Amino acid sequence: MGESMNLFEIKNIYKCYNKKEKPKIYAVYNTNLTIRKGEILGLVGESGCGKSTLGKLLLKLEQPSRGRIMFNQRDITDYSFNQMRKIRNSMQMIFQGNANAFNPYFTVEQIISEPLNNYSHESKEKKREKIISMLEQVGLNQTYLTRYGHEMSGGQRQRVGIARALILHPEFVVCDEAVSSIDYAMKNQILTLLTDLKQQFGLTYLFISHDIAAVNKLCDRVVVMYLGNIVEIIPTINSNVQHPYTKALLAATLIPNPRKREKNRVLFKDTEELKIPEKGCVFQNRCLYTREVCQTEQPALAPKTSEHYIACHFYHNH
Amino acid sequence: MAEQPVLSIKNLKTYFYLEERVVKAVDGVSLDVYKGRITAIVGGSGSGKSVMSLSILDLVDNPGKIIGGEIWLNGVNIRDLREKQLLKIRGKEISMIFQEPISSMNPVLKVKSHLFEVIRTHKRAISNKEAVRLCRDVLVRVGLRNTDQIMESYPFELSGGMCQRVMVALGLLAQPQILIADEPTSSLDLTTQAAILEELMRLKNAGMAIVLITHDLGVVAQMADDVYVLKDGKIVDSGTVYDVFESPRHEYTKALLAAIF
Repeated sequence: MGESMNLFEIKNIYKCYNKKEKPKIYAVYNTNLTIRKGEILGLVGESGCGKSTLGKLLLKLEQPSRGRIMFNQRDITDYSFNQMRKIRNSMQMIFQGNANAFNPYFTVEQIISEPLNNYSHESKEKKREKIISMLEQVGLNQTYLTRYGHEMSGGQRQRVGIARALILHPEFVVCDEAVSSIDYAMKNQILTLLTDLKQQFGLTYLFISHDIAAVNKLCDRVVVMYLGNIVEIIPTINSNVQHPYTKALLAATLIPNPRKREKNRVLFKDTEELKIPEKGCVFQNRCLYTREVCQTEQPALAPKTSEHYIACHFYHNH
Repeated sequence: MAEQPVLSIKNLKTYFYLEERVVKAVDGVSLDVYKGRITAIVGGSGSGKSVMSLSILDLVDNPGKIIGGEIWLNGVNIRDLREKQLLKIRGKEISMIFQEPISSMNPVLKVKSHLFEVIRTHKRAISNKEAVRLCRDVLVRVGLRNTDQIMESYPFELSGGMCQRVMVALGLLAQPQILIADEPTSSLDLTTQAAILEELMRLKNAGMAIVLITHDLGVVAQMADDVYVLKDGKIVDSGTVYDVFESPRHEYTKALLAAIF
Protein backbone atom coordinates (compact mmCIF):
# COMPACT_ATOMS: atom_id res chain seq x y z
CA MET A 1 0.00 0.00 0.00
CA GLY A 2 1.60 3.23 -1.18
CA GLU A 3 1.93 6.38 0.89
CA SER A 4 -0.55 8.26 -1.26
CA MET A 5 -3.35 5.89 -0.24
CA ASN A 6 -3.53 7.37 3.24
CA LEU A 7 -6.09 10.09 3.72
CA PHE A 8 -5.26 10.71 7.36
CA GLU A 9 -2.19 9.93 9.38
CA ILE A 10 -2.01 10.77 13.03
CA LYS A 11 1.20 10.41 14.93
CA ASN A 12 1.61 10.19 18.69
CA ILE A 13 -1.49 12.20 19.43
CA TYR A 14 -2.25 13.20 23.02
CA LYS A 15 -5.27 15.09 24.21
CA CYS A 16 -5.42 16.26 27.79
CA TYR A 17 -8.35 18.25 29.13
CA ASN A 18 -7.25 19.34 32.61
CA LYS A 19 -3.94 20.94 31.84
CA LYS A 20 -3.34 22.56 35.20
CA GLU A 21 -4.47 19.86 37.56
CA LYS A 22 -2.45 16.83 38.51
CA PRO A 23 -2.56 13.98 37.74
CA LYS A 24 -3.33 14.81 34.13
CA ILE A 25 -6.21 12.96 32.58
CA TYR A 26 -5.83 12.02 28.97
CA ALA A 27 -8.80 11.44 26.68
CA VAL A 28 -6.48 10.24 23.95
CA TYR A 29 -3.03 8.93 24.84
CA ASN A 30 -0.11 8.42 22.44
CA THR A 31 -2.20 7.25 19.54
CA ASN A 32 -1.02 6.42 16.02
CA LEU A 33 -3.47 5.70 13.28
CA THR A 34 -3.79 5.87 9.52
CA ILE A 35 -7.04 6.08 7.63
CA ARG A 36 -6.86 4.87 4.04
CA LYS A 37 -8.67 6.54 1.19
CA GLY A 38 -12.04 4.94 0.54
CA GLU A 39 -12.22 2.75 3.62
CA ILE A 40 -14.77 2.62 6.39
CA LEU A 41 -12.84 2.54 9.62
CA GLY A 42 -14.78 1.52 12.71
CA LEU A 43 -13.97 2.86 16.16
CA VAL A 44 -15.44 1.05 19.16
CA GLY A 45 -15.05 1.33 22.89
CA GLU A 46 -17.11 2.28 25.92
CA SER A 47 -18.29 5.75 26.78
CA GLY A 48 -15.52 8.00 27.95
CA CYS A 49 -12.80 6.04 26.16
CA GLY A 50 -11.95 8.92 23.84
CA LYS A 51 -13.77 7.81 20.69
CA SER A 52 -15.51 11.11 20.04
CA THR A 53 -12.45 13.11 21.04
CA LEU A 54 -10.37 11.26 18.47
CA GLY A 55 -12.97 12.04 15.80
CA LYS A 56 -12.95 15.70 16.73
CA LEU A 57 -9.16 15.83 16.75
CA LEU A 58 -9.11 14.62 13.15
CA LEU A 59 -11.37 17.47 12.09
CA LYS A 60 -9.42 19.86 14.31
CA LEU A 61 -12.54 20.66 16.28
CA GLU A 62 -10.20 19.96 19.18
CA GLN A 63 -6.55 20.93 19.22
CA PRO A 64 -4.25 18.03 20.20
CA SER A 65 -2.01 18.57 23.24
CA ARG A 66 0.85 16.83 21.44
CA GLY A 67 1.41 14.97 18.17
CA ARG A 68 0.86 15.58 14.48
CA ILE A 69 -2.13 15.20 12.18
CA MET A 70 -1.59 14.74 8.44
CA PHE A 71 -4.43 15.11 5.98
CA ASN A 72 -3.70 14.29 2.32
CA GLN A 73 0.07 14.44 3.08
CA ARG A 74 -0.28 17.92 4.55
CA ASP A 75 0.50 18.58 8.19
CA ILE A 76 -2.63 20.34 9.43
CA THR A 77 -1.77 20.28 13.14
CA ASP A 78 -0.92 23.96 13.34
CA TYR A 79 -3.36 25.25 10.75
CA SER A 80 -5.07 28.43 11.81
CA PHE A 81 -8.83 28.83 11.89
CA ASN A 82 -8.82 30.42 8.46
CA GLN A 83 -6.55 27.79 6.97
CA MET A 84 -8.79 25.06 8.38
CA ARG A 85 -11.80 26.81 6.98
CA LYS A 86 -10.45 26.40 3.49
CA ILE A 87 -10.12 22.64 3.76
CA ARG A 88 -12.99 21.92 6.09
CA ASN A 89 -15.45 21.52 3.23
CA SER A 90 -13.73 18.24 2.48
CA MET A 91 -14.18 16.89 6.01
CA GLN A 92 -17.52 16.76 7.77
CA MET A 93 -19.09 15.20 10.82
CA ILE A 94 -22.42 13.57 11.59
CA PHE A 95 -22.88 14.47 15.21
CA GLN A 96 -23.93 12.30 18.10
CA GLY A 97 -27.22 13.08 19.81
CA ASN A 98 -29.03 14.44 16.80
CA ALA A 99 -31.69 16.05 18.98
CA ASN A 100 -29.17 18.58 20.28
CA ALA A 101 -27.08 18.92 17.15
CA PHE A 102 -29.46 21.34 15.45
CA ASN A 103 -30.38 24.90 16.27
CA PRO A 104 -33.96 24.58 17.55
CA TYR A 105 -34.95 27.80 15.77
CA PHE A 106 -33.78 26.53 12.37
CA THR A 107 -35.88 24.77 9.77
CA VAL A 108 -34.45 21.82 7.87
CA GLU A 109 -33.71 24.12 4.95
CA GLN A 110 -31.72 26.47 7.16
CA ILE A 111 -29.90 23.57 8.81
CA ILE A 112 -28.74 22.08 5.53
CA SER A 113 -28.02 25.40 3.79
CA GLU A 114 -25.62 26.45 6.56
CA PRO A 115 -22.58 24.64 5.06
CA LEU A 116 -23.57 25.79 1.55
CA ASN A 117 -23.70 29.41 2.65
CA ASN A 118 -20.19 29.08 4.01
CA TYR A 119 -18.61 27.55 0.97
CA SER A 120 -20.54 28.30 -2.20
CA HIS A 121 -21.74 31.49 -3.81
CA GLU A 122 -24.57 30.07 -5.81
CA SER A 123 -27.99 31.60 -6.20
CA LYS A 124 -30.67 30.83 -3.67
CA GLU A 125 -32.61 28.75 -6.18
CA LYS A 126 -29.56 26.68 -7.05
CA LYS A 127 -28.91 25.99 -3.38
CA ARG A 128 -32.49 25.04 -2.81
CA GLU A 129 -32.29 22.60 -5.70
CA LYS A 130 -29.18 21.03 -4.21
CA ILE A 131 -30.80 20.73 -0.80
CA ILE A 132 -33.88 19.05 -2.23
CA SER A 133 -31.83 16.55 -4.21
CA MET A 134 -29.74 15.81 -1.10
CA LEU A 135 -32.90 15.31 0.96
CA GLU A 136 -34.16 12.85 -1.64
CA GLN A 137 -30.90 10.97 -1.48
CA VAL A 138 -31.30 10.43 2.25
CA GLY A 139 -34.88 9.29 1.76
CA LEU A 140 -36.74 12.48 2.67
CA ASN A 141 -38.44 14.95 0.35
CA GLN A 142 -39.06 18.66 -0.02
CA THR A 143 -42.03 18.71 2.34
CA TYR A 144 -39.41 18.49 5.11
CA LEU A 145 -37.81 21.82 4.18
CA THR A 146 -40.01 23.83 6.50
CA ARG A 147 -39.90 21.48 9.48
CA TYR A 148 -38.06 22.14 12.71
CA GLY A 149 -35.83 19.62 14.45
CA HIS A 150 -38.38 18.77 17.12
CA GLU A 151 -41.06 18.05 14.51
CA MET A 152 -39.24 14.99 13.27
CA SER A 153 -38.58 11.51 14.61
CA GLY A 154 -35.12 10.37 15.65
CA GLY A 155 -34.52 8.58 12.37
CA GLN A 156 -35.59 11.58 10.30
CA ARG A 157 -33.30 13.89 12.29
CA GLN A 158 -30.49 11.43 11.78
CA ARG A 159 -31.06 11.69 8.02
CA VAL A 160 -31.05 15.47 8.13
CA GLY A 161 -27.74 15.25 10.00
CA ILE A 162 -26.39 13.04 7.23
CA ALA A 163 -27.69 15.39 4.54
CA ARG A 164 -26.01 18.36 6.23
CA ALA A 165 -22.70 16.50 6.40
CA LEU A 166 -22.78 15.39 2.78
CA ILE A 167 -24.13 18.49 1.03
CA LEU A 168 -20.63 19.78 0.28
CA HIS A 169 -19.53 16.39 -1.08
CA PRO A 170 -16.70 15.96 1.41
CA GLU A 171 -13.93 13.37 1.10
CA PHE A 172 -14.07 12.33 4.71
CA VAL A 173 -16.95 12.01 7.17
CA VAL A 174 -16.84 11.24 10.88
CA CYS A 175 -20.04 9.41 11.86
CA ASP A 176 -20.29 9.76 15.63
CA GLU A 177 -22.83 7.21 16.92
CA ALA A 178 -24.89 7.67 13.77
CA VAL A 179 -27.06 4.62 14.46
CA SER A 180 -27.22 4.36 18.24
CA SER A 181 -30.54 4.89 19.97
CA ILE A 182 -32.63 4.09 16.91
CA ASP A 183 -34.52 0.84 16.45
CA TYR A 184 -33.45 -2.09 14.30
CA ALA A 185 -35.48 -1.33 11.19
CA MET A 186 -34.26 2.27 11.06
CA LYS A 187 -30.69 1.19 11.81
CA ASN A 188 -30.69 -1.09 8.79
CA GLN A 189 -31.95 1.71 6.58
CA ILE A 190 -29.34 4.19 7.79
CA LEU A 191 -26.51 1.69 7.35
CA THR A 192 -27.63 0.90 3.80
CA LEU A 193 -27.90 4.61 3.12
CA LEU A 194 -24.37 5.25 4.39
CA THR A 195 -23.01 2.44 2.20
CA ASP A 196 -24.86 3.70 -0.89
CA LEU A 197 -23.69 7.27 -0.37
CA LYS A 198 -20.15 6.08 0.15
CA GLN A 199 -20.14 4.31 -3.19
CA GLN A 200 -21.81 7.21 -4.94
CA PHE A 201 -19.49 9.92 -3.65
CA GLY A 202 -16.33 7.87 -3.01
CA LEU A 203 -16.31 8.74 0.68
CA THR A 204 -14.06 7.69 3.51
CA TYR A 205 -15.75 7.21 6.89
CA LEU A 206 -14.64 7.06 10.45
CA PHE A 207 -17.58 5.21 11.99
CA ILE A 208 -17.67 5.71 15.75
CA SER A 209 -20.07 3.39 17.56
CA HIS A 210 -20.48 1.04 20.46
CA ASP A 211 -22.75 -1.19 18.39
CA ILE A 212 -20.57 -4.16 17.45
CA ALA A 213 -23.10 -5.65 15.00
CA ALA A 214 -23.39 -2.39 13.07
CA VAL A 215 -19.62 -1.95 13.00
CA ASN A 216 -19.09 -5.47 11.70
CA LYS A 217 -21.70 -4.99 9.03
CA LEU A 218 -20.31 -1.71 7.74
CA CYS A 219 -16.59 -1.42 8.38
CA ASP A 220 -13.47 -2.59 6.56
CA ARG A 221 -11.30 -2.34 9.68
CA VAL A 222 -12.13 -1.82 13.32
CA VAL A 223 -10.10 0.04 15.93
CA VAL A 224 -10.80 -0.85 19.55
CA MET A 225 -10.09 1.84 22.12
CA TYR A 226 -9.90 1.59 25.87
CA LEU A 227 -9.29 4.64 28.08
CA GLY A 228 -7.64 6.72 25.37
CA ASN A 229 -5.44 3.95 24.00
CA ILE A 230 -5.82 1.76 20.96
CA VAL A 231 -5.74 -1.83 22.19
CA GLU A 232 -6.52 -3.71 18.99
CA ILE A 233 -6.99 -3.18 15.24
CA ILE A 234 -8.73 -5.99 13.39
CA PRO A 235 -10.76 -6.43 10.15
CA THR A 236 -13.90 -7.58 12.04
CA ILE A 237 -14.80 -8.17 15.67
CA ASN A 238 -15.15 -11.96 15.60
CA SER A 239 -13.62 -14.97 17.34
CA ASN A 240 -10.19 -13.92 16.03
CA VAL A 241 -9.97 -11.07 18.53
CA GLN A 242 -7.02 -11.40 20.87
CA HIS A 243 -7.01 -8.54 23.34
CA PRO A 244 -8.77 -9.37 26.63
CA TYR A 245 -10.80 -6.16 26.40
CA THR A 246 -12.06 -6.93 22.89
CA LYS A 247 -12.89 -10.44 24.08
CA ALA A 248 -14.88 -8.94 26.94
CA LEU A 249 -16.71 -6.64 24.52
CA LEU A 250 -17.54 -9.54 22.24
CA ALA A 251 -18.80 -11.68 25.12
CA ALA A 252 -20.99 -8.79 26.31
CA THR A 253 -22.60 -8.38 22.89
CA LEU A 254 -26.14 -9.69 22.97
CA ILE A 255 -26.91 -12.06 20.11
CA PRO A 256 -30.59 -11.86 19.17
CA ASN A 257 -31.02 -15.60 19.09
CA PRO A 258 -32.40 -17.43 22.15
CA ARG A 259 -30.63 -20.66 21.16
CA LYS A 260 -27.26 -18.93 21.39
CA ARG A 261 -27.22 -17.80 24.97
CA GLU A 262 -23.89 -16.64 26.28
CA LYS A 263 -23.05 -18.47 29.50
CA ASN A 264 -20.15 -16.31 30.50
CA ARG A 265 -21.06 -12.78 29.60
CA VAL A 266 -18.78 -10.97 32.01
CA LEU A 267 -15.18 -11.48 30.99
CA PHE A 268 -13.72 -8.62 32.98
CA LYS A 269 -13.22 -7.53 36.54
CA ASP A 270 -15.76 -5.05 37.67
CA THR A 271 -14.24 -1.91 39.09
CA GLU A 272 -15.45 1.58 39.61
CA GLU A 273 -11.97 2.99 39.05
CA LEU A 274 -11.87 4.08 35.44
CA LYS A 275 -8.67 6.09 35.44
CA ILE A 276 -5.67 5.49 33.26
CA PRO A 277 -3.12 3.70 35.49
CA GLU A 278 0.10 5.65 36.08
CA LYS A 279 2.19 2.98 34.45
CA GLY A 280 1.69 -0.33 32.74
CA CYS A 281 -1.18 -1.61 30.63
CA VAL A 282 -4.37 0.52 30.54
CA PHE A 283 -6.58 -2.53 31.01
CA GLN A 284 -4.70 -3.97 34.02
CA ASN A 285 -7.37 -3.13 36.60
CA ARG A 286 -10.14 -4.98 34.81
CA CYS A 287 -8.20 -7.69 32.98
CA LEU A 288 -8.64 -11.30 34.05
CA TYR A 289 -5.07 -12.16 33.06
CA THR A 290 -3.07 -9.36 34.69
CA ARG A 291 0.48 -10.33 35.65
CA GLU A 292 3.38 -8.42 37.12
CA VAL A 293 4.71 -7.06 33.84
CA CYS A 294 1.28 -5.55 33.05
CA GLN A 295 1.60 -3.27 36.07
CA THR A 296 4.96 -1.89 35.08
CA GLU A 297 5.24 -1.87 31.30
CA GLN A 298 2.81 -0.62 28.72
CA PRO A 299 2.49 -3.07 25.83
CA ALA A 300 3.07 -1.63 22.34
CA LEU A 301 0.62 -2.11 19.50
CA ALA A 302 2.30 -5.01 17.68
CA PRO A 303 1.28 -6.70 14.43
CA LYS A 304 0.07 -10.28 14.45
CA THR A 305 -0.69 -10.20 10.75
CA SER A 306 -0.51 -7.26 8.35
CA GLU A 307 -4.13 -6.36 9.18
CA HIS A 308 -4.29 -7.32 12.84
CA TYR A 309 -2.57 -5.36 15.63
CA ILE A 310 -2.74 -6.05 19.35
CA ALA A 311 -1.43 -4.20 22.38
CA CYS A 312 -1.06 -6.94 24.99
CA HIS A 313 1.94 -8.66 26.58
CA PHE A 314 0.34 -12.07 26.52
CA TYR A 315 -1.97 -12.18 23.53
CA HIS A 316 -0.48 -15.44 22.28
CA ASN A 317 -1.13 -17.41 25.47
CA HIS A 318 -4.52 -16.79 26.98
CA MET B 1 -47.66 -24.45 32.86
CA ALA B 2 -49.16 -26.03 35.91
CA GLU B 3 -47.92 -23.41 38.31
CA GLN B 4 -50.12 -20.47 39.18
CA PRO B 5 -48.91 -17.07 37.96
CA VAL B 6 -47.85 -14.64 40.73
CA LEU B 7 -49.20 -11.74 38.74
CA SER B 8 -52.02 -11.97 36.27
CA ILE B 9 -53.29 -9.03 34.28
CA LYS B 10 -56.63 -9.30 32.57
CA ASN B 11 -57.89 -6.93 29.87
CA LEU B 12 -56.11 -3.87 31.26
CA LYS B 13 -57.03 -0.57 29.64
CA THR B 14 -55.30 2.75 30.23
CA TYR B 15 -56.51 5.69 28.19
CA PHE B 16 -55.24 9.26 28.06
CA TYR B 17 -58.02 11.82 27.83
CA LEU B 18 -56.62 14.76 25.90
CA GLU B 19 -58.61 17.82 24.97
CA GLU B 20 -59.43 16.81 21.44
CA ARG B 21 -59.01 13.04 21.46
CA VAL B 22 -58.51 9.91 23.50
CA VAL B 23 -55.20 8.04 23.26
CA LYS B 24 -55.58 4.34 23.97
CA ALA B 25 -52.06 3.73 25.34
CA VAL B 26 -52.92 0.32 26.78
CA ASP B 27 -55.92 -1.26 25.13
CA GLY B 28 -56.96 -4.59 26.58
CA VAL B 29 -53.68 -6.20 27.65
CA SER B 30 -53.71 -9.59 29.37
CA LEU B 31 -50.59 -11.32 30.59
CA ASP B 32 -49.25 -13.73 33.21
CA VAL B 33 -46.02 -13.49 35.17
CA TYR B 34 -44.50 -16.54 36.84
CA LYS B 35 -42.12 -17.01 39.73
CA GLY B 36 -38.50 -17.66 38.70
CA ARG B 37 -39.12 -16.60 35.13
CA ILE B 38 -38.34 -13.49 33.11
CA THR B 39 -41.31 -12.14 31.21
CA ALA B 40 -40.26 -9.72 28.49
CA ILE B 41 -42.53 -7.08 27.02
CA VAL B 42 -41.21 -5.94 23.65
CA GLY B 43 -42.37 -3.14 21.41
CA GLY B 44 -41.22 -0.09 19.53
CA SER B 45 -41.26 3.36 21.06
CA GLY B 46 -44.78 4.55 21.73
CA SER B 47 -46.21 1.04 21.84
CA GLY B 48 -47.45 1.48 25.41
CA LYS B 49 -44.80 -0.59 27.22
CA SER B 50 -43.99 1.95 29.89
CA VAL B 51 -47.58 3.05 30.48
CA MET B 52 -48.53 -0.58 30.96
CA SER B 53 -45.86 -1.10 33.59
CA LEU B 54 -46.88 2.11 35.38
CA SER B 55 -50.50 0.98 35.29
CA ILE B 56 -49.68 -2.18 37.23
CA LEU B 57 -48.75 -0.06 40.24
CA ASP B 58 -51.40 2.57 39.52
CA LEU B 59 -48.74 5.22 38.90
CA VAL B 60 -50.27 6.71 35.76
CA ASP B 61 -50.64 10.47 36.02
CA ASN B 62 -53.38 12.68 34.65
CA PRO B 63 -54.70 12.85 31.97
CA GLY B 64 -54.09 9.10 31.90
CA LYS B 65 -56.65 6.86 33.54
CA ILE B 66 -56.97 3.14 34.05
CA ILE B 67 -60.48 2.52 32.83
CA GLY B 68 -60.79 -1.20 33.01
CA GLY B 69 -59.27 -4.59 33.71
CA GLU B 70 -58.08 -6.66 36.64
CA ILE B 71 -54.63 -7.07 38.17
CA TRP B 72 -54.44 -10.21 40.29
CA LEU B 73 -51.57 -10.49 42.75
CA ASN B 74 -51.60 -13.60 44.97
CA GLY B 75 -55.35 -13.97 44.64
CA VAL B 76 -56.19 -10.31 45.26
CA ASN B 77 -57.35 -7.94 42.59
CA ILE B 78 -55.20 -4.93 43.46
CA ARG B 79 -57.39 -2.66 41.37
CA ASP B 80 -59.93 -2.93 44.22
CA LEU B 81 -57.46 -1.75 46.84
CA ARG B 82 -57.30 1.74 48.28
CA GLU B 83 -54.30 4.01 47.87
CA LYS B 84 -53.15 3.25 51.42
CA GLN B 85 -53.19 -0.49 50.84
CA LEU B 86 -51.47 -0.04 47.49
CA LEU B 87 -48.61 1.77 49.21
CA LYS B 88 -47.82 -1.45 51.03
CA ILE B 89 -47.66 -3.35 47.77
CA ARG B 90 -45.49 -0.87 45.90
CA GLY B 91 -41.89 -1.67 46.61
CA LYS B 92 -42.69 -4.54 48.96
CA GLU B 93 -44.58 -6.96 46.71
CA ILE B 94 -43.95 -5.41 43.32
CA SER B 95 -41.12 -3.00 42.80
CA MET B 96 -39.94 -1.12 39.83
CA ILE B 97 -36.67 -0.10 38.22
CA PHE B 98 -37.39 3.05 36.30
CA GLN B 99 -36.05 4.09 32.96
CA GLU B 100 -33.21 6.65 33.05
CA PRO B 101 -32.00 6.19 36.61
CA ILE B 102 -30.35 9.58 36.97
CA SER B 103 -33.49 11.55 36.20
CA SER B 104 -35.68 9.16 38.19
CA MET B 105 -33.92 10.00 41.43
CA ASN B 106 -34.27 13.18 43.41
CA PRO B 107 -31.20 15.26 42.52
CA VAL B 108 -31.01 17.00 45.89
CA LEU B 109 -31.14 13.83 47.98
CA LYS B 110 -28.19 11.56 48.67
CA VAL B 111 -28.33 7.89 47.73
CA LYS B 112 -28.70 7.14 51.44
CA SER B 113 -31.92 9.14 51.66
CA HIS B 114 -33.40 7.29 48.71
CA LEU B 115 -32.63 3.95 50.34
CA PHE B 116 -33.90 5.07 53.73
CA GLU B 117 -37.20 6.17 52.23
CA VAL B 118 -37.88 2.61 51.13
CA ILE B 119 -36.89 1.19 54.51
CA ARG B 120 -38.98 3.68 56.47
CA THR B 121 -42.01 2.98 54.29
CA HIS B 122 -41.89 -0.78 54.63
CA LYS B 123 -39.96 -1.61 57.82
CA ARG B 124 -40.65 1.09 60.34
CA ALA B 125 -39.51 -0.79 63.39
CA ILE B 126 -35.81 -1.14 62.74
CA SER B 127 -33.07 1.06 64.20
CA ASN B 128 -30.96 3.49 62.19
CA LYS B 129 -27.91 1.29 62.62
CA GLU B 130 -29.79 -1.72 61.35
CA ALA B 131 -31.07 0.32 58.39
CA VAL B 132 -27.56 1.35 57.40
CA ARG B 133 -26.47 -2.27 57.56
CA LEU B 134 -29.38 -3.26 55.29
CA CYS B 135 -28.46 -0.56 52.78
CA ARG B 136 -24.84 -1.71 52.71
CA ASP B 137 -25.91 -5.31 52.14
CA VAL B 138 -28.17 -4.48 49.25
CA LEU B 139 -25.55 -2.25 47.59
CA VAL B 140 -23.00 -5.06 47.82
CA ARG B 141 -25.54 -7.46 46.36
CA VAL B 142 -25.88 -5.36 43.21
CA GLY B 143 -22.12 -5.35 42.80
CA LEU B 144 -21.13 -2.00 44.26
CA ARG B 145 -18.09 -1.53 46.42
CA ASN B 146 -17.19 1.58 48.44
CA THR B 147 -20.73 1.43 49.80
CA ASP B 148 -20.21 4.11 52.45
CA GLN B 149 -18.97 6.58 49.88
CA ILE B 150 -21.84 5.79 47.51
CA MET B 151 -24.45 6.29 50.21
CA GLU B 152 -23.07 9.79 50.80
CA SER B 153 -23.13 10.66 47.07
CA TYR B 154 -25.77 12.49 45.09
CA PRO B 155 -27.12 10.79 41.96
CA PHE B 156 -25.25 13.12 39.58
CA GLU B 157 -21.94 12.17 41.18
CA LEU B 158 -22.31 8.56 40.07
CA SER B 159 -21.65 7.11 36.63
CA GLY B 160 -24.56 5.77 34.56
CA GLY B 161 -23.78 2.18 35.45
CA MET B 162 -23.44 2.90 39.17
CA CYS B 163 -26.69 4.85 39.14
CA GLN B 164 -28.47 1.96 37.47
CA ARG B 165 -27.13 -0.37 40.17
CA VAL B 166 -28.38 1.95 42.89
CA MET B 167 -31.76 1.86 41.13
CA VAL B 168 -31.71 -1.95 41.20
CA ALA B 169 -30.72 -1.82 44.87
CA LEU B 170 -33.71 0.43 45.61
CA GLY B 171 -35.93 -2.07 43.87
CA LEU B 172 -34.57 -4.99 45.89
CA LEU B 173 -34.47 -3.39 49.30
CA ALA B 174 -37.91 -4.51 50.46
CA GLN B 175 -37.43 -8.01 49.01
CA PRO B 176 -40.25 -7.94 46.49
CA GLN B 177 -41.68 -11.01 44.75
CA ILE B 178 -41.93 -9.21 41.45
CA LEU B 179 -39.49 -6.78 39.88
CA ILE B 180 -40.53 -4.66 36.91
CA ALA B 181 -37.50 -3.39 35.00
CA ASP B 182 -38.25 -0.68 32.44
CA GLU B 183 -35.37 -0.50 29.91
CA PRO B 184 -32.81 -1.35 32.60
CA THR B 185 -29.83 -1.33 30.25
CA SER B 186 -30.50 1.05 27.40
CA SER B 187 -27.96 3.88 27.43
CA LEU B 188 -25.41 1.71 29.25
CA ASP B 189 -22.11 0.47 27.86
CA LEU B 190 -21.88 -3.11 26.65
CA THR B 191 -19.75 -4.17 29.57
CA THR B 192 -21.92 -2.43 32.17
CA GLN B 193 -25.01 -3.85 30.50
CA ALA B 194 -23.53 -7.33 30.80
CA ALA B 195 -22.95 -6.86 34.52
CA ILE B 196 -26.52 -5.60 35.17
CA LEU B 197 -28.10 -8.40 33.12
CA GLU B 198 -25.99 -10.93 35.02
CA GLU B 199 -27.45 -9.47 38.22
CA LEU B 200 -31.04 -9.84 36.95
CA MET B 201 -30.31 -13.43 35.91
CA ARG B 202 -29.06 -14.17 39.42
CA LEU B 203 -32.26 -12.74 40.93
CA LYS B 204 -34.40 -14.80 38.60
CA ASN B 205 -32.51 -17.96 39.52
CA ALA B 206 -33.14 -17.10 43.19
CA GLY B 207 -36.87 -17.30 42.43
CA MET B 208 -37.89 -13.74 41.70
CA ALA B 209 -40.43 -13.00 38.97
CA ILE B 210 -39.05 -10.36 36.62
CA VAL B 211 -40.95 -8.28 34.08
CA LEU B 212 -38.45 -6.93 31.58
CA ILE B 213 -39.58 -4.06 29.39
CA THR B 214 -37.33 -3.38 26.44
CA HIS B 215 -37.06 -2.65 22.73
CA ASP B 216 -33.75 -4.49 22.43
CA LEU B 217 -34.29 -7.92 20.89
CA GLY B 218 -30.78 -8.93 21.87
CA VAL B 219 -31.67 -8.48 25.54
CA VAL B 220 -34.91 -10.43 25.04
CA ALA B 221 -33.22 -13.34 23.24
CA GLN B 222 -30.54 -13.62 25.90
CA MET B 223 -32.69 -13.12 28.99
CA ALA B 224 -36.39 -13.86 28.59
CA ASP B 225 -38.41 -17.01 29.20
CA ASP B 226 -41.79 -15.67 28.07
CA VAL B 227 -42.29 -12.87 25.56
CA TYR B 228 -45.21 -10.57 24.82
CA VAL B 229 -45.05 -8.30 21.78
CA LEU B 230 -46.91 -5.04 22.24
CA LYS B 231 -48.05 -2.77 19.42
CA ASP B 232 -50.32 0.25 19.73
CA GLY B 233 -51.38 -0.81 23.21
CA LYS B 234 -52.37 -4.33 22.20
CA ILE B 235 -50.57 -7.63 22.53
CA VAL B 236 -50.05 -8.95 19.03
CA ASP B 237 -47.88 -11.97 19.73
CA SER B 238 -46.89 -14.02 22.76
CA GLY B 239 -45.33 -17.29 23.79
CA THR B 240 -42.02 -18.66 25.03
CA VAL B 241 -38.93 -16.92 23.74
CA TYR B 242 -38.38 -19.78 21.29
CA ASP B 243 -41.97 -19.57 19.97
CA VAL B 244 -41.71 -15.87 19.32
CA PHE B 245 -38.24 -15.90 17.75
CA GLU B 246 -38.63 -19.06 15.72
CA SER B 247 -42.29 -19.09 14.70
CA PRO B 248 -43.61 -15.55 15.00
CA ARG B 249 -47.31 -15.36 14.21
CA HIS B 250 -47.93 -11.66 13.73
CA GLU B 251 -46.62 -9.59 10.83
CA TYR B 252 -45.25 -7.00 13.24
CA THR B 253 -43.12 -9.58 15.05
CA LYS B 254 -41.89 -10.88 11.71
CA ALA B 255 -40.94 -7.36 10.66
CA LEU B 256 -39.11 -6.78 13.96
CA LEU B 257 -37.16 -10.00 13.57
CA ALA B 258 -36.41 -9.40 9.90
CA ALA B 259 -34.67 -6.17 10.78
CA ILE B 260 -32.07 -7.95 12.91
CA PHE B 261 -28.72 -8.57 11.36
